Amino acid sequence: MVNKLEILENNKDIKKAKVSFPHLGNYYIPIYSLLLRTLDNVDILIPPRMTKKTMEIGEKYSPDFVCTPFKYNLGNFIESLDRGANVLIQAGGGCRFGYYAELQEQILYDLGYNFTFITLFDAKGVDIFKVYKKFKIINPKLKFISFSYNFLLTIKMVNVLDKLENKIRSIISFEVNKGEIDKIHNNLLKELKLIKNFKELKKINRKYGDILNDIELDRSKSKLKVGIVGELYTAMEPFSSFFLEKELSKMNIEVKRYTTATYLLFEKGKEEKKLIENANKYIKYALGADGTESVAHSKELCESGYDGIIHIKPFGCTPEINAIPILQKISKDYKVPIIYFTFDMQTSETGIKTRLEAFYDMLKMKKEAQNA
Amino acid sequence: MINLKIGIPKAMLYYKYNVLWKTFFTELGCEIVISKDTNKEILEKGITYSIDESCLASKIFIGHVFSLIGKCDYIFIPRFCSYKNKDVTCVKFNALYDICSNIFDNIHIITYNLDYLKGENEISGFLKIGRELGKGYIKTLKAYLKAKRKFKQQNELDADKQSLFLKNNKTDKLNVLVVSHPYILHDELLGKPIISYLKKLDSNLIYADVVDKKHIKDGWKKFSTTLYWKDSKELLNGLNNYLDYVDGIVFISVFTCGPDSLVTELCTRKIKDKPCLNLILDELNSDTGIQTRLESFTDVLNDKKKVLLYG
Repeated sequence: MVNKLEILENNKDIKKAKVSFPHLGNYYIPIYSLLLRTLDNVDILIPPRMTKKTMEIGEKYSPDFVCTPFKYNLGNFIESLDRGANVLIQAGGGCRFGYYAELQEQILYDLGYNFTFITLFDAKGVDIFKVYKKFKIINPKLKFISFSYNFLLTIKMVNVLDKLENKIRSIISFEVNKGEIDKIHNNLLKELKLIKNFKELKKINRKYGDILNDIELDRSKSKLKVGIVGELYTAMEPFSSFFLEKELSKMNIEVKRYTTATYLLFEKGKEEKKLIENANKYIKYALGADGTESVAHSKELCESGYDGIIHIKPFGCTPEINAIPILQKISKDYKVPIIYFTFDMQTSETGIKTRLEAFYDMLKMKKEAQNA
Repeated sequence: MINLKIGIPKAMLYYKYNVLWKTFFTELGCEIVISKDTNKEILEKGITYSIDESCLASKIFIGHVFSLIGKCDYIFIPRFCSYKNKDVTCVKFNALYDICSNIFDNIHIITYNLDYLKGENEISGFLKIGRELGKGYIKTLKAYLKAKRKFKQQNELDADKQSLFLKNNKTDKLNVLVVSHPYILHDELLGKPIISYLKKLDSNLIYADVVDKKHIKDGWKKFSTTLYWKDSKELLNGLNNYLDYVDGIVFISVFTCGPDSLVTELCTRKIKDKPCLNLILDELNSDTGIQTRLESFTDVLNDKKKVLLYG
């Protein structure tokens, strides 16, 4: 690893470096903006939109039963490399995600690509100084003060994005003029991408907050409320769940989702003890990764009157498999239906849609029977 | 006074810690009930009570737990999470306790929690067990220390035996290194048939999980820089330690094993000079399929050896 980095450092043609990273929902915008503001000496390549092709490429070169996000990430990397990227950034984290980077690097080298691979975090968590050092490899002139300003701005940006998207999620099923909110959403993403300082961010936050508040809504349209729990990648990357949330909004179902980047980065750590305490009827220990959250949040959703819960995970996700037997028990105790979706390369979109429709019909009938 | 009966499922980390656990409970004056070797019935029950996608090893574990219900006062299901130098276990081990307490209604579980990152170490865990069983502090501590000593001795003994065998091994037979978690390798249904078939094919078997854990600590660094799973690290230590002595390597893992899905792939990509065979077991396995692969693998090794010996 060190040698490769040295090569890059000594490389006089560093201006030709092209940085890329894997997709995760709309978070490519804050990441892109961070890279743009801190690495002014390189090109930045947002990987092409995820398609079936991305999945296929990723799967082809991945180990068989690795969890699905590995395959998506690898697909993103290969598509970026094919478009001329030569510096790849991977985040790293808990469970298996922390180990993705090393194997992905090896696989890509074996495929004959020439690139530098940079992992931002290790299993021990986010350390701004370490991240700074990694950035400095690409841009030696980067000052710590300017980096930390931009880093904080990006974090704030993620917060704003999450807040507004949460709002969108809660109202989109009530919109009177179909497609209106989608348009606003797209504009928001476009404007967010070009932000340079806190002031502009604040302005956007207020502007879109107001716009979303003023949208004409028809609350009588929907009567069902559903919570989404489960694994983080599937929850945050709509492509990997066949745009599940969009489907739900088409059915006029109000959606609540806990998992956002803000939640994972800043609230999860603080909350874990409280979550286990809340769910102590079912669990005594943390289940690993997002398993505890799935259980505790499901219980919370059941108690706060949600009509159903959708549990999503990629194939082979161990922590979520840990959570399922406990979720089944919660579902039985509270009489709230939970549907379990597993997504992988072989999952058929039609299959998911059919099951979702059946689930919707069941919830609707249950609700009508209760009201009658 | 009637002795308390403690049931220990013969699956998962039993194969690593059995000496520690058995000695501890015997010293405390408990009677130990160990579930039978894995058989078809245990496997079937395990599959019935588990989620489809769980790894095969955990399904077998659930089957063992089921077979112990009603046969003992407590079933012993410890929780493993993190070790001293920030190593962690697969998240499956984090949740076995909670899974079992949720899927079985009338189950009494006794447990200890090994989570150094949150300040839960082994001694305090065992002392808690002692308190829960109503045994005195001193007695528990003594039992733990004795068990720990015996556990370490056993480990060294096994490792010495294997190294001695390698040193004195002058036969012409193939040396095959088996890299697999002990709960797969020594399981009656999973690893045992493979071991006996390899022996039948006239080869010496060397086990990567049998290694002096006290002195060999950094071998894994040769294969990986960021590895953090304790069990995988130990296997890679063994792999590195024995690599030069063997003709070929057989990796055995079970379907949807999380760490293995990544680590085995990385190893097979990094080991260029020795033939590797990667066997993945699932509940629909046919013995014939595995045997055919083992046969052709040993054929390859034999040919390679002949070329080396006679040119």
